[in-house]
Amino acid sequence: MGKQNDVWQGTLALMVLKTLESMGPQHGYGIARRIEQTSGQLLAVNYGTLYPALLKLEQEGYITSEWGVSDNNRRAKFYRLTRAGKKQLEREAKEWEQTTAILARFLEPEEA
Amino acid sequence: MRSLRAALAALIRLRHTLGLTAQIRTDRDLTDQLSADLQLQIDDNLRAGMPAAEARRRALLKAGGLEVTKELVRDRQGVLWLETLVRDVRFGCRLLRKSPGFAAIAIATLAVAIGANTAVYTLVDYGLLRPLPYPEPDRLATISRHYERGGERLDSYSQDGVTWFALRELSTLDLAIVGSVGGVNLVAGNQTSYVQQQRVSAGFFGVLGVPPALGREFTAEEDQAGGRSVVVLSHALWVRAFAADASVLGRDVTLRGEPSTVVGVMPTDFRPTTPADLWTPLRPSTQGEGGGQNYDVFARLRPGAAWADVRGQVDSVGATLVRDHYQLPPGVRMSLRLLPLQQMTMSDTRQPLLVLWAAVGIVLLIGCANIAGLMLVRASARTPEIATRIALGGGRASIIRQLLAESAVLSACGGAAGIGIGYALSRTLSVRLADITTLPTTPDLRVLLIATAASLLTSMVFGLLPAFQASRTDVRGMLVDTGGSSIAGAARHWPSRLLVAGEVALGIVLVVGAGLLIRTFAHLTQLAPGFDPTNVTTGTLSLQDARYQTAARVNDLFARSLDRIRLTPGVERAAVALTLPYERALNNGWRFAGEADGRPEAISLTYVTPEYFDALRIPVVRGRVFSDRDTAASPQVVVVNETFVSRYSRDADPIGRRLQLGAGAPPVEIIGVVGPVQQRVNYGNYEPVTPLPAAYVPAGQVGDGGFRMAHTWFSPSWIVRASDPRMSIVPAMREALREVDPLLPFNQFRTMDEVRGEAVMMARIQAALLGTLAVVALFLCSLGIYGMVANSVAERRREFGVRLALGATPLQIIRSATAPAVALSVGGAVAGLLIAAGGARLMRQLVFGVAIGDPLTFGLAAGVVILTACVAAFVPVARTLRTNVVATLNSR
Repeated sequence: MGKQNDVWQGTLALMVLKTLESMGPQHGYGIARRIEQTSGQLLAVNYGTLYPALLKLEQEGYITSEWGVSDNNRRAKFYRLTRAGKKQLEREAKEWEQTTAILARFLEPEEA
Repeated sequence: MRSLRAALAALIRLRHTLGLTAQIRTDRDLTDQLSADLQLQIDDNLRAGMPAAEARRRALLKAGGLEVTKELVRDRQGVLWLETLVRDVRFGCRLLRKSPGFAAIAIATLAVAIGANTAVYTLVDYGLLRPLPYPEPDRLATISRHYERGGERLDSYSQDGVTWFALRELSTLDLAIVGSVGGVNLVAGNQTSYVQQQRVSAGFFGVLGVPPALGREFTAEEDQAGGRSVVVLSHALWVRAFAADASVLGRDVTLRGEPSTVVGVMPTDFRPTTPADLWTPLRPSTQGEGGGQNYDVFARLRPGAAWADVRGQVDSVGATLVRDHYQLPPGVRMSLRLLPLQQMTMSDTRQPLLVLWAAVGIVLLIGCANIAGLMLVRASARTPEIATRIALGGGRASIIRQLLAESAVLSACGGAAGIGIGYALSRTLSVRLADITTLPTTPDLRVLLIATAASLLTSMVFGLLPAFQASRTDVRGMLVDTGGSSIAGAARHWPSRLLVAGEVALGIVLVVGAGLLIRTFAHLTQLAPGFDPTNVTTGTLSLQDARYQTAARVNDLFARSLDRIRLTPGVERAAVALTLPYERALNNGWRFAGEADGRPEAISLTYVTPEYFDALRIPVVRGRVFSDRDTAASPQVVVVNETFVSRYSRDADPIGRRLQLGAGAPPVEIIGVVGPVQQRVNYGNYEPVTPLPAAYVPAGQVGDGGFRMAHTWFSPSWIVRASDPRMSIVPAMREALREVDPLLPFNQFRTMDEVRGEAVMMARIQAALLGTLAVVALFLCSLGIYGMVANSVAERRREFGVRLALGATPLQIIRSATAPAVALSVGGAVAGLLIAAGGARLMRQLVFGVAIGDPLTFGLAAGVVILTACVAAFVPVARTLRTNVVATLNSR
C-alpha cells in the first residue's frame, strides 16, 4: 500500500459537500470511501476526522442526516445536502478555484 | 419573496449554529452510527474475500480508534455542554461521596472562610464601599477644620457657632448641624423610657434628603432659642412606645421633664449616622455649647453648584475666620475644607473595618490554599487513574473539566454552608455591635452575590492548579511505576509545599495582628485605675430636665438624695459626679489667671460633691479636697490632678495658683492635688484610655448655665461605696431617689468594672474578632500541614518500612518525615514576619501601649505558628509508626 496523506479539515468539508452533490444521500462510510477513491487512494479518511466534519456541517445546516437502509440491507445513517449546502458548495468551489488559479500562476515557470 | 426565503434560511442556519434545534446527539446514537458504518466496511471486506476475523480487524484498523472519534465528536458538540455539565457534576458528587473525610474537611474549611467573609464583608460593604444611604449621596458634604503643623496634618470635624453662622451665608450649600447624642427621659402615656436623643438643626433631614414619613421636620422658628419644644421620632421608637399610632402627631409627650409636641416620624428604612431614638432642635448659638467646637456640619451642594467652586467659597470663609476669629497656637495653620460627608461618617470605623477585612481575607486565602492542597493530594492519588484515561484516549480538556467540576461541587456546598454561617455570625455581630454602629449587619442580595462569586472564584483558581498538574501527567512513567514505591522529593510536591509555606506566612501575619490588638486590650485593662473600684456601685440618670434648670434645684436634689442613701445600712460613702473615671469628661479650655491667651489643650473638667474622692478612694496628694463649706457664697476653688501639675505647673507650687476655666470665667484657686484616674479620650493622639490632666470643681459652685450645658451632654452618676461586697445597693439607691423625686428614675446601674469595660469596648471587640480569626487561621494552617505530611507519609510507607528493616530508629524516621514541613514552616514564618512588619504599620491607630514592631508579639506569634506546624507534622508520622510499617513490605 502506497503512502497515504491525511486529509486536512478545510478541504474535507468541500469534498463532503461535493460528494453528496454528485452521489446523492450517502452514509459516512460511503462518503469516506468515495473521497478515498476520487483521490486515487492518495487520501486516507478515518472517522476521527470525518465525523467531527460531518457534525460541523450538520450544525451549520449545510447537510441533514437520517437513519435509512443501505443497498445491502444494513441500517445506516444517511447524509443529504440541504439547499443552503448547495449554495455553500457553489461558493466554496468558486473560492477554491480562484485560490488554486492564483497559486498556479505563482508556481508557473517564469517566462523569459 | 426570494429575500424572505434567504432570511428564513439564514435564521435556520443560525439556529443550527447556536445548537438550538434538536441537534443534541446522544452517545447511543453516535455509537450506533459508528458501528453501522463499521459494519458496512466489514461487509465490503467480506465481499472482497477476507475471512470474518480479518475483515473485522482490518475494518477496525481503518476506522482508527472508535473511542477517540467519539471523544472528538463530543468535543465538537458544543450543544452538549449542559449534558456534559450534569454528567461532570454527578461524577464530582460521586467522587466526593466516596471520600467523605476529604469532602467534609474541604467543605467545612470553605464554609468557615466564606462565612466569616460574608459577615465581615456585610459591614465593610455598608461601612466603606457603598455610598451613604441617602438620595444623591455624591452631593453630600461636610466641612472640616484642617490643621497643619510642620508635616503633621489633622482633620477635625467639629465646628463652633461662629463658624456655623458664617457658613450659613453660602448660597451654594444647604447646611445643617448636629450636636451630641445623649440619653434623656421620655414619658409617653404612663411609661418612662430612657432614649437616645440627637439634637439637630432645622433642615437636617432636608439636607440628608429623607423627609419624615409622617408629619414634618423642625421649622427655623422652632430651632431658635425660646422656640416651641418639638420632637421627631424614629420609626422604631414610634412602634415601641406609641404602638405605631398615627394620631401621635401633634400630641404632647414629656421629654426632659417638659411637654414636647411630636411633629414627625421618620421612615422605617431611615438610617441615621449614629444610633438615635428621637431628634430635637439644636438651637445653634455662638454662646455656651456653640462657644466650643460641638457641631458637626452636614451639607448638600445645591443643584448646579460644582464641588470646585464651593470648595473655593468654603476656603475663603475659613480664611476670613482665621483672620478675625480663631486663635491658633504659633506654627499651626488652619483652613476650612469641604469634604465628602462619608469621610466624616467613616472616620472612626474605617481603620478597624479595613483591618478586620484584611483579617478575613487572610482566612479565606488560607482556606483556599488548604483546599488547593487537598485537591493536589487527591489529584496525585488519582494520577494512575488519570494516566490510564489519557492512555485510552481521554482528552486532557475533559479531565481538567471533571476535576474542575469536582471543585465546583465542593465550592457550591461550602459556599452554601458559608452563607448560612455568615447569617448566623451577622446575627451575633448585630447584637454585639448594636450600641456602636448603625450599620446594618444582615447580608443583602448584593453581599450574597459577592459571597457566591467569591466561592466560585475560589474553586476556579484553586481547582485549576491541581487539574492542570494532573493533566500534565506523564502517562508512560505513571503506568510503569507501580505506585507506592516512590520516595519523597518528587518534583510534583513543590506546589503543595509552596501552599503550606504560604499558609504559614499568612497565618503569622494574622496572629501578629491579633497579638498586637490583644496586647493593646490587655494594656488598657491593666492600667492602674488610680482609684479603688471594689464595692462601688454607680447609678446614672439624665438631668437634662425642665425641672432642674437652676443650680439650687440641682444641688438640692444631690444633697437630699445622698442624705437618704447614706441612711442605708452598709453604705460608707455616697457622692455625685458629672462623669466617672473611665468615662470621657468635659473637655474644657483654660488658662492660668493673668495669661493673655487660652492654652491650646483642653483639660478634663468634672463637678463632684465633697465625698467623691473618699467614695472612690482617689488619693489626695497635697492640700485639701472639697467640703460642704465650698458653696456658691464661698471663694471659688478647684482641685487638679498630678498629671496637670507635672504638665503645667512643674516649676511652681500649684497650691494657691489661680485658673480661668474658659475665656471670661471667674478665676478659681487650686486648693488641692489628687492622684490621676484613667479617662476615656476622644481627641488628639492619646491612647483611648489615659490619665489626662484634669480639674474638679465642687458641684456647690457650678452656676445655672454650667449645669444646663453640662447636662445636655452628660448624665451625672451617683457613686456609692458599700462595706460589704455581697450587698446589692441598687434597690436602696432606687428607693432613695424615688422618695426625693418620683419622676426621676435611674437609667442605668453599673459597677466600676462595667464602666471600664465600656471604655475599652472597642479595643476588646477588635481583639476578640481578630483573636478568633487568628485561631481559625491557625487551625486551618495546621490542617493544611497535617494533610501534606500525612500524604507524604502515606506515599513513603514502603520507604520507611525498608529503612526500619535496615535498622533505622523511629526517631530518625520521624525526623526525616517531619523535616520538610518544619523547614517549610520556618521559611513561611520568616516571610510572614516580614509581611507582618510592613502590615502592622497599617494598624498604628489601633495599637496602644505596645510598639508596632513589638518583638515579644512577633516572637510569640512565630513560636505559636511554628509549634502548631510541628505538632501538625508530627501527628501523622507518629500515627503511621504506631502501625506495623515493616509488615507493608510483605504485602506486595
